[in-house]
Amino acid sequence: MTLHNRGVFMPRTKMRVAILATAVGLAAALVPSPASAGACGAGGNYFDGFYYNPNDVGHLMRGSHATIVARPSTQCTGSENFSTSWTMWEGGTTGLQYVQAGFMKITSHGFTEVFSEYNNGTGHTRYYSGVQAVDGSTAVFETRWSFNSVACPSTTNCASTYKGNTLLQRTPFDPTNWPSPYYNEVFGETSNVEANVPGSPSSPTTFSAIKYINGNNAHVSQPCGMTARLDIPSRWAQDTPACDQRRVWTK
Amino acid sequence: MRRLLSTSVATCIAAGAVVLATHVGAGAEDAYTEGQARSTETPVRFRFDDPRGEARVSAGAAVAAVRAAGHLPEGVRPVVALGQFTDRDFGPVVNGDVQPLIKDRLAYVLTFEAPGRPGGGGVHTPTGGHAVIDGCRHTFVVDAISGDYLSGVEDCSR
Repeated sequence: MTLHNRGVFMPRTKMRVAILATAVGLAAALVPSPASAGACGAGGNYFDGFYYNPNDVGHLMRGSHATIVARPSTQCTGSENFSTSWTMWEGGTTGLQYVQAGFMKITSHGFTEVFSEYNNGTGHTRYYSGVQAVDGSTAVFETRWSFNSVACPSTTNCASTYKGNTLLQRTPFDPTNWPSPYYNEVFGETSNVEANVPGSPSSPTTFSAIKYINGNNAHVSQPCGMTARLDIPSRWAQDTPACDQRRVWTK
Repeated sequence: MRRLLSTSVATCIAAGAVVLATHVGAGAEDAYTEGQARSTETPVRFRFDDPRGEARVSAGAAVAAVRAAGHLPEGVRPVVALGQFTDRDFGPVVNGDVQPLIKDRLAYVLTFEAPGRPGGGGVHTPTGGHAVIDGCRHTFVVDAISGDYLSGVEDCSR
């Protein structure tokens, strides 16, 4: 019994054994985990990460790119909730026009899974790939503009999301119709204050080889100058090992 | 796998399935409503054709697999149907064409409506975030031979 996709990911049977072994090991050693999450309160969107506007260096933006290390998250209990890490191409002014891809865990009893999501301001569509990611595994995620492509589902131009070379999702709209400027983003995010962003002080969530795709369809290494956002500084943290490498975690 | 009933007793239509009968398991874990798979354009990426062959895991086990993955809210009873499943948008792209990694797989499709919470852009989303959207269409798929949860879509678009 195995999962349908491999790469850095594990067959389900092996993963169950690994999870059991890990759980036993952690229990025996009483290793402290990231700050314990509590019962879920009111839901929303809470962020720990970085963003950048390529217009600042005269570039149009046509996609985002990052290598992300999967980390488990401790989540709140009592309602549906998520904890996630992703790369995103955002436009508009409402926070509801975006294309993203990365890892997501749903509820305290779910597992970390490759996902992708788009939103044209009229409600989101989220794809769950069923691909489970173990702690420390990495994957390259990208959002990318497709110009004059027959592959776009209902428009001439659209955006596509990828894990490596594997297509995850295509939008039924052209994101370049969004009001500019556009932003390149890497974030940890939760749906509840009480949940933990993925990562711990000893094993943070790492975003590396951060890039954006410019108007010439070239991948540009993320320069210095990303802006930080940290909604819950009492519980979460972040740092910048390099301009194109960022980390987030729960204290 | 319990064979599906005749479509003549279909009583209502849900996203991706025609409802045929309701089943309540010994516990809440496997409660579901039996249906018949059909191709659906919402979401556009999932294709379902008539099933070929017999499932090796029960519909209740498929429901439990989706619940274990964190995707089935408490108190929600999905419609479950058996069919040949293809995810047309998951796979490598070769010369502009997607090569589906999951193609013509005997699978259970679970559909239900439930609220969904959007992610949000990290620049413009105000502190506290966005509101939940009611009535989102959820579709999740489980391999009917191995019992593995395969994929899903939460469609809250209007």
